[in-house]
Amino acid sequence: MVDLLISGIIYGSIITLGAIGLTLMSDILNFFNFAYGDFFTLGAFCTLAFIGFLPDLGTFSHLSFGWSMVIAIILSIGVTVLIMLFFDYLFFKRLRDLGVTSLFMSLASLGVSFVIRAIINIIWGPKVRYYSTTIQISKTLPFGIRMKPDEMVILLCAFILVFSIFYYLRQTKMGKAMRAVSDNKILAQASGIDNKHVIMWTWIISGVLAAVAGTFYGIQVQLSPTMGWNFLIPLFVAVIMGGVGSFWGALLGGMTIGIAEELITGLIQNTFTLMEIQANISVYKPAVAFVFVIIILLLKPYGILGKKKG
Amino acid sequence: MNILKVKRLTAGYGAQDVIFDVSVHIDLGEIISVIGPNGAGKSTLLKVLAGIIKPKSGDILFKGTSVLGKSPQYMTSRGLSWVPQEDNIFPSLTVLENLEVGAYLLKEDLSGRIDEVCQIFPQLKERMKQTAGSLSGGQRQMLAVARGLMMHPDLLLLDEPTSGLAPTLVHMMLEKIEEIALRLGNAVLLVTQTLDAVRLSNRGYLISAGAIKYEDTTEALLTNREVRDLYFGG
Repeated sequence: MVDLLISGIIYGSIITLGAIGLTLMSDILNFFNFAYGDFFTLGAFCTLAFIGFLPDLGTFSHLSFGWSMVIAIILSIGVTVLIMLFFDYLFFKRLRDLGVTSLFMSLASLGVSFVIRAIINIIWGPKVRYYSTTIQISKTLPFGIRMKPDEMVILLCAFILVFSIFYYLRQTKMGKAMRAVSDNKILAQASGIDNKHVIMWTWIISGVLAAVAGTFYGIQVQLSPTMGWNFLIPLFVAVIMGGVGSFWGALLGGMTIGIAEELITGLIQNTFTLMEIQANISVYKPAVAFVFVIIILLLKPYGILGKKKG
Repeated sequence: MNILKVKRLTAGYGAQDVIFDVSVHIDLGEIISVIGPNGAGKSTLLKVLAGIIKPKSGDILFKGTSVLGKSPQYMTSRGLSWVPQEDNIFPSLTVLENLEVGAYLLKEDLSGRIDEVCQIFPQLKERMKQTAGSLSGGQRQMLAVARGLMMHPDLLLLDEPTSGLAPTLVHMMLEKIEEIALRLGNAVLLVTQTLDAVRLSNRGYLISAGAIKYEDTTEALLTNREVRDLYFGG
């Protein structure tokens, strides 16, 4: 039970990173970006590519990775952000200038997602890949908690990143401008805020989160060209559940979905094993997310922390 | 000296024109009222002046320079501030953050300006950390005007600032508008349907069906029987 909970918290922390990026985009850019999952995949594969280019700098004590991974993540963030800004310039900016609806923007993002996935498939092929094939032994911590060293680092980094973004949105001038645009675009413009600048920063922050979350998912699970597309379901559920545009909602939704998926499928799997029934319950994880979102939407149509916008 | 001179302005939404051939002028230090029935185009006129809506034809001279088709950011940077009737605050931001965003274009320390607007609206001072969305209707209106003052505008566009306020708050808000004009020495363009607000102004325009029907001093406008009967209920 504790193992499942810990596994859920780690999975939830990765969902939270992506959900914050997606909720910022959905709120400020005013459309659901279906390509976000594939930017997540792109980030993970860029890290893999940079690890391949960089010299072997060894691994950190107890961890499956070393300095080459740290440098690769930083480079991957840069490349992912640049590619996202390029796609914005190529497609989304033009559509915004034409004044198309949110629905049309979302459909366009679906097209962009196919393009990115196809490019990843062409470059890296369809097979599953790993950053490291080293088998890690879990460490025993107080209260019977067992975690792998990689998982501890993922959790710590996700925590630092979430609170850095929160600090940025709360304390910096651009962060306040982003929140103002999210509240009222016209009044923000009339206050002197340049919406184009805010949109650019939204892509940058979302890109950083996509690249880091993708890489963390790759460390924790594996890399495949469809990883981001499959990850979209928990991401969207986390955003909708927490309330579109809500930072704390994304955190709450991400952690809830992560923990619920691991706990519920894990407990059912354990029960089936005890009853000697052979079944792979983990493939039904998305079903847990769907059940959650249906219940939340019936009870709180704007999400747990979301508000109706005028 | 005209701070604003609008010449034969035509504008609207998409293909639908809402104001036609509108000409208005304001001098520095003047309070001008724009009155008219609902849907006459009063708010549209302010949106065009603020750069929110691009006009179809005509010209807008602000401080002697044409600003036709300029962006809202540009208009704010030149010294024009617009306070809309509705959705005039950032509800998820605190009162302090609303004021800071109001002076977004400034790079200087804002504490002096925040103190200044708090002298005009002392009620805001004790609510600085409160979320704007949790304020009462009157407090929201005060915050909206205070946000509009943060840039020390030369021209303040107020769209029905007393709309939805209790009668005691209406008088308080009108006194504040008068105080603002005296303190800052700027010009105020006031869209209103309240008789007391019209009395506050030096001159007034009556707009109906998107066109200016009357332009006169406040006294003349208020003694005009047709204006009184039609727009102030006699």
